[in-house]
Amino acid sequence: MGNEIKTGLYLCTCEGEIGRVIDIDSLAEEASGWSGITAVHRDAFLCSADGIRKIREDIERLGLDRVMIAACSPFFKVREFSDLGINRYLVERVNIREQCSWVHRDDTDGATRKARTMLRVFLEKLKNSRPLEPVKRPILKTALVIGGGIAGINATLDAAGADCEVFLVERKPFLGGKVAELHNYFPRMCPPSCGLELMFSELGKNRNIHVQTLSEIGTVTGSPGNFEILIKTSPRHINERCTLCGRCLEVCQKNAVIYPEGFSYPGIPAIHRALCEEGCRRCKEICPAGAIDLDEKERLNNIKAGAIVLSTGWDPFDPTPIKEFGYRRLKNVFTNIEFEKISKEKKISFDEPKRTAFIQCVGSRDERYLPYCSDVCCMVSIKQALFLKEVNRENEVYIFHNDIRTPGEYEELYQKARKSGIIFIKGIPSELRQDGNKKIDFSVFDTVAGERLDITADMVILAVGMRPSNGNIALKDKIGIALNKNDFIESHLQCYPQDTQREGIFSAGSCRAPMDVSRSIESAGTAAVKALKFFRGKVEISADYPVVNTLKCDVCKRCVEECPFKAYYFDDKGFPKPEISKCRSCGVCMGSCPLSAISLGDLSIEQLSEMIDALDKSYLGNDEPIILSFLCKNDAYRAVDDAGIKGIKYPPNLFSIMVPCSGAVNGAIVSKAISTGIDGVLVAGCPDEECHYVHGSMLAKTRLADISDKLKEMYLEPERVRFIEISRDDAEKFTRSVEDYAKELRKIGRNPLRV
Amino acid sequence: MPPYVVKDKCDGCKGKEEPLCEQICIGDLMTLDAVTGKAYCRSLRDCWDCMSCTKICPKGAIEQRIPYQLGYHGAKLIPMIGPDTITWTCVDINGKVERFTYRTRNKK
Repeated sequence: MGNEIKTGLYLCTCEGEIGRVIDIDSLAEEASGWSGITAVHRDAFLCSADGIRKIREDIERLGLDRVMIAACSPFFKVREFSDLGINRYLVERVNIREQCSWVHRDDTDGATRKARTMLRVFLEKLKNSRPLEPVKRPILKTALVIGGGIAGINATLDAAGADCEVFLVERKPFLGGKVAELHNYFPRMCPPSCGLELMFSELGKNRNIHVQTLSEIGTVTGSPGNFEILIKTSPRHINERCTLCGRCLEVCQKNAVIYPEGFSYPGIPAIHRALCEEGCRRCKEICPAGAIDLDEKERLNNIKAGAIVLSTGWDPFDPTPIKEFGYRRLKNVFTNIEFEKISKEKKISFDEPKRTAFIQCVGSRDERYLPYCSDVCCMVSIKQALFLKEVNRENEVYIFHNDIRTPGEYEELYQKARKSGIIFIKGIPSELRQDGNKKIDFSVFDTVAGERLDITADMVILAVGMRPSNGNIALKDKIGIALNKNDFIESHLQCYPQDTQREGIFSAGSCRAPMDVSRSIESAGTAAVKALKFFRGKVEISADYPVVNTLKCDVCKRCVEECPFKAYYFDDKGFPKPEISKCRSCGVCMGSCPLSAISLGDLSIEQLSEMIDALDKSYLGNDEPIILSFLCKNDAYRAVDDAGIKGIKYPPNLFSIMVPCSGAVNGAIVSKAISTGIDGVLVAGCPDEECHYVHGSMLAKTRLADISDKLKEMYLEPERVRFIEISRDDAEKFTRSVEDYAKELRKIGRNPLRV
Repeated sequence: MPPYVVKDKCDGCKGKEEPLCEQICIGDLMTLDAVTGKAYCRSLRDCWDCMSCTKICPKGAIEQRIPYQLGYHGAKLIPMIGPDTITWTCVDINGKVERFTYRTRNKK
């Protein structure tokens, strides 16, 4: 390729915005003589229909194979310049407005010199650019739902109802999750059997649905659209021939037979082998249907799915660490979830009137345990209190709370509870005590009445909150999803609540945040719709993914280690290779490679190296320092554009190159810049915790620190390389640092390596 | 004179199997300390002072002690590698600094 390119250079004066400061005419005249430039055109309004038409015509008429547009920032007029009839990787936008004419408007000479240098440098980039096409991959229209609670079941039914094949995997022997254990749901107080039974019958009817119970996720490989999941299924030991005669249950002395309740799915018992007496085979011998196989082994199977819906649910908070409430130590102190079972199975007689105290927010909204509100506990306690009033009107019920939170329609239930004589007291009991008589004594300070109450209760219910189930943590690394600080699934809450941070993986129900039944079902529907929408597209992988030059690679594995998305694997020849569907083209691998063997499709090491050669180190004369800055695409570059838009000035000593992430800047490139006489190298990236690519800016910082040390060894000034943290809105901070840096470099003096 | 590894800087090339200095050393002298995970030269007297390890180290963690035939204590040779450049800083025993930048053929 070399110099034989035919580039069309289009200079826009932007109705004077650029032309007033930069001498476009002299630039155009000069550039027409450069090698590689075939046509030069000046326009006052390049983004207009006429301007675009001119470019398109020139490409056809003159056979241009490269286009350079010197105008506004590449983030402006994206649509206008997107369809020029040439591969978009052969079009270079040179930002002479936001980063030149607007910010150097008082220094027309400096601005013109800088613009000329920009044209030369980006022409050099164009010489080495290649046409690239995005990779399109089909999406498998199959979903995997992990977790068979109410959210998982609903996500399955919704997706399968839209003619999509769904695999539903549940760890326990039966579907239904926590909801199946409940006595009834609020606000309508219907029993879960009613809703679940309907759902189960639909599950059974739909041929698109494949349910696997007693199963866990082994490994997840592949990529969005084409996941491959290994499922490990523990043996049930009882097969479909079971007639539910119940004899196994009768002969088992170790309670190892887990029997389905009336509406369980699947309606087959399971045997918990770990509980079995050694050598006992009584159940197998007695089974008239021959349905029991005690030697069944664990099975493995592979599922291929395009999308994954996580619905791993929640576990109740265990209040044992809160010593003062005496859970497990005192009799008749239960958690709310235990009370569901008690009320469902009528384990306690309510013939005698009882005095019951509910304590709200046990562990919730407490930094030591669960720092968040669990959303449902107020309603659960009101529901359970109403139940107590229902079974025996003489029952005396107290609810001790911080605040009662009953949003929306639930307020009705709260009012109903008040009317039915349930006593709400704002104040949390201090310590529960129990004497021999099984009654529980405690005192509480009623913060509304301002007095101390001493209460003796027959039963205390601790309203414990919801914490994410262990499934979240187990899946975190297997699937590669992010969890928030409370271990719930991280999502962009206000805009994309059901999307996880990985494409093609969605969440439903309480694994994302504490939710009641109705919200779980809602979120399941959203997750199913998201998955269906995902199925309609194709996975399109941006063409700028990195490529490893295997002639140079020494397999040091640094790229594998430093890739923020763990996208690298080893190909058949043992060289690292990015799995392009996981790759987000951040270029951290390009920055990491000690041998400069990795290049992004649209910004190679070679291009950067040639650009540095083409950069005239004395474009502002022999005495002015030149600062080469690498700006991260997401924040720093846009912040610097902002400086232009706001009209904040900075000296033309700054020359910027956009990189996808500050972590993409290779040490060798910085070294070359210093070696060839650039006075200062400035890398601008996001603050550590804001980096879009996890640890890109952190890596950039350490790499620059190493180079800084090397400069010191070389008896050069370590200040010649610098990292600055720039957020999206830091335009002023940036311009100030550039001014200071230029001053500092003037004081230090010329880079002795400048020729 | 052997290479000197700055322990604080060496990160064992992260991969932890065969660091770059081990791969490049013509005498197979560099290797990782199994306990600390840092590189070291396992036979100091066999080093030929080729400085390949110094040049390839991505962390700049390997310094070279110059053999006395070239310069006594205080003399230094420091390479800085670009994609197609190498800049040598030579410091003699009197502290006189000279720098040379060359093109290399590492490009492709």
